[in-house]
Amino acid sequence: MSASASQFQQLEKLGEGTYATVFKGRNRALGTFVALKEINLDSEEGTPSTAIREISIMKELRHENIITLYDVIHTENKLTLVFEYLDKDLKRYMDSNGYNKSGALEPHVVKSFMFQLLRGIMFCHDNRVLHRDLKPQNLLISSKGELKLGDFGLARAYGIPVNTFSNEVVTLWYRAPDVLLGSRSYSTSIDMWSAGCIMAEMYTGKPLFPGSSNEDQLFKIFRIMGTPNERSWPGVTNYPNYRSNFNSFIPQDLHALIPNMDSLALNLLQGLLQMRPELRLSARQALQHAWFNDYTGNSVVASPMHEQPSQQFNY
Amino acid sequence: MVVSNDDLFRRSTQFRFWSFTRLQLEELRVVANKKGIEKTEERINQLDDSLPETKIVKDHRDQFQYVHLDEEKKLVSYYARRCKELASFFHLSAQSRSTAIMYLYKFYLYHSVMEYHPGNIMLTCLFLAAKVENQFIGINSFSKNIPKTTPEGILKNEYLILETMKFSLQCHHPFQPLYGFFLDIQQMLPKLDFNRLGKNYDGARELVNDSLFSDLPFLYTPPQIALTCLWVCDDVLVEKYLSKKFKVNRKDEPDDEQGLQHYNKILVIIRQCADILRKEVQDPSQDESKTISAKIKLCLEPARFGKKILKQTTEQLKRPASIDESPDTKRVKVESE
Repeated sequence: MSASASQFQQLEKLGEGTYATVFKGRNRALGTFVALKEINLDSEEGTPSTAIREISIMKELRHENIITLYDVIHTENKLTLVFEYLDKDLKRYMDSNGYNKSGALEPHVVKSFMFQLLRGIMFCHDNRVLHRDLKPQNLLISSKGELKLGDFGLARAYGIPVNTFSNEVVTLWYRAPDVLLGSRSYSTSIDMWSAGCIMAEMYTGKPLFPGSSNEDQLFKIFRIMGTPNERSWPGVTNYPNYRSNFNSFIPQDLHALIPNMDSLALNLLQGLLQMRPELRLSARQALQHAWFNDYTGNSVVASPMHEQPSQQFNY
Repeated sequence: MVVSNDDLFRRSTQFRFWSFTRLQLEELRVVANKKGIEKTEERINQLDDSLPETKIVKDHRDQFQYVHLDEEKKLVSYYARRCKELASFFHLSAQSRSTAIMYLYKFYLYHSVMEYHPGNIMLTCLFLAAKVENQFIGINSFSKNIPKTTPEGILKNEYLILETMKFSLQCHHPFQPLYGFFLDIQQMLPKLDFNRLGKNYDGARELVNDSLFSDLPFLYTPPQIALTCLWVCDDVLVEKYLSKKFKVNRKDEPDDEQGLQHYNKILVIIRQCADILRKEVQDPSQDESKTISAKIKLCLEPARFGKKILKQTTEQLKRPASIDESPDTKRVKVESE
């Protein structure tokens, strides 16, 4: 961590977030590109907590499906995080690579991206990190077709039990119904719902649940997944945002909505888009799904998911 | 695709950056101490020659007292203990508290108390740890509750600490593994008296807190420390649990060969770890800390050393001869006559 700001040439602006601005940069010595995330340090509270959190999490997460944090540079009034640079995010990739300009991707591309997305998520969860803001804009795609999770500004390390998290996270469209209903004790399942939404969006080129408010978001989910009740989801009426006068919908056939999806893919999608968080597939389970057999070499038996040792012995 | 918990730990920055052998730790501290002495010497050399105390400092250089390696460790431990108290005052969790204490110890693997006084660094470590562990305390209320501090004074060191931590801020402490063992023991030994386990679990948690004031977190993994703390409270229980776990010492069946190896290996580690826990947990007294702090003051501002000698000499000059019979003052008396 001995980089200095002059090492990088600042190029065009890539985006602006709530607490940082991201620029494309060029390493002057190597000619390679990087993403420079600039954080203003004019806060009265020292380094902003969001930056601290992102740095501390990114230092732990070294994985091929997660963006690498190369360096942190400190100048008088700003902190710059130097990240690995990838050509585009999934949103832009879909816009430019989808067939017939629909934004929809070829099924084999969806499978490759989903596999990589789930691997990245599993690594986060294994490291006790929730991403909490998975969406196409936060998934970066390289020219070689690699997918990497980025923007951990909202991520959190979680312990057990996981509770009292704020429910104001995750861009509305990819937000899980339990969070929308006001759950404050969500866990890894929150990221799995987002993964399901992203999977459907890659097939169709359109967001699955494009809600405009918390209420509208629930409405859009219920209209397709069915309105939950005590029978389909015991305890649902106890959620803070539950209303007894919710419009009553019956579950739709996802296949009718996404016709180009084969039955295995559909089965996985249904596993991810479970309304009840405890029924949602984990990243590990999803990766063992038969849809991925051509990647995993049918190694369903090779990774026993329920044989996680309850403690570790490190020599 | 199976990633074991061991693999996960080995990928953590705690393992990659902050796990050492005893020798490595010693070397780091020797280098830090040397750096502190060099910095102090630099400060002495930079003193303003036009001032009377400067000449005195330079004349008495052989008497100048640097802070010794052991004293560095003691003083850091003293403030680590104060950090624990302060964390309790702010009602911070065991996680935040322990993280702050680890930041402080880590900081002084790369810096000397002769460069930065641990009394100041400790405050920033606590402020930063609360931020990292999602228990953020606003700087104004933080500072307001600690006498003789300012928000600026606390924030001033934040980046220095971040940098010294190599931006690796996540700490794993033995509390979680200890809880894991607590649960697993109940599963493995269902007939066990729960009160006995509960009592020893509480005792072990206390020992985990103590373990922070030794080098254990740098030398062993959190689960190893957790198991050791439990073993110190109830060795019979832990050994029974491990026997069951590794299928050894059974009445009617032969030992599992690999299990036996694991079992023996773990017990060797536990014994080494327990030895450190018994002998090397530091709790220096306030007097000790005052003596060392006084030295640091002179290291940070060597001009004070000159002034101190100057003051001593003038006091000796003023002192009435009848009381003081030392040969020096006699000579002074003769001279003044």
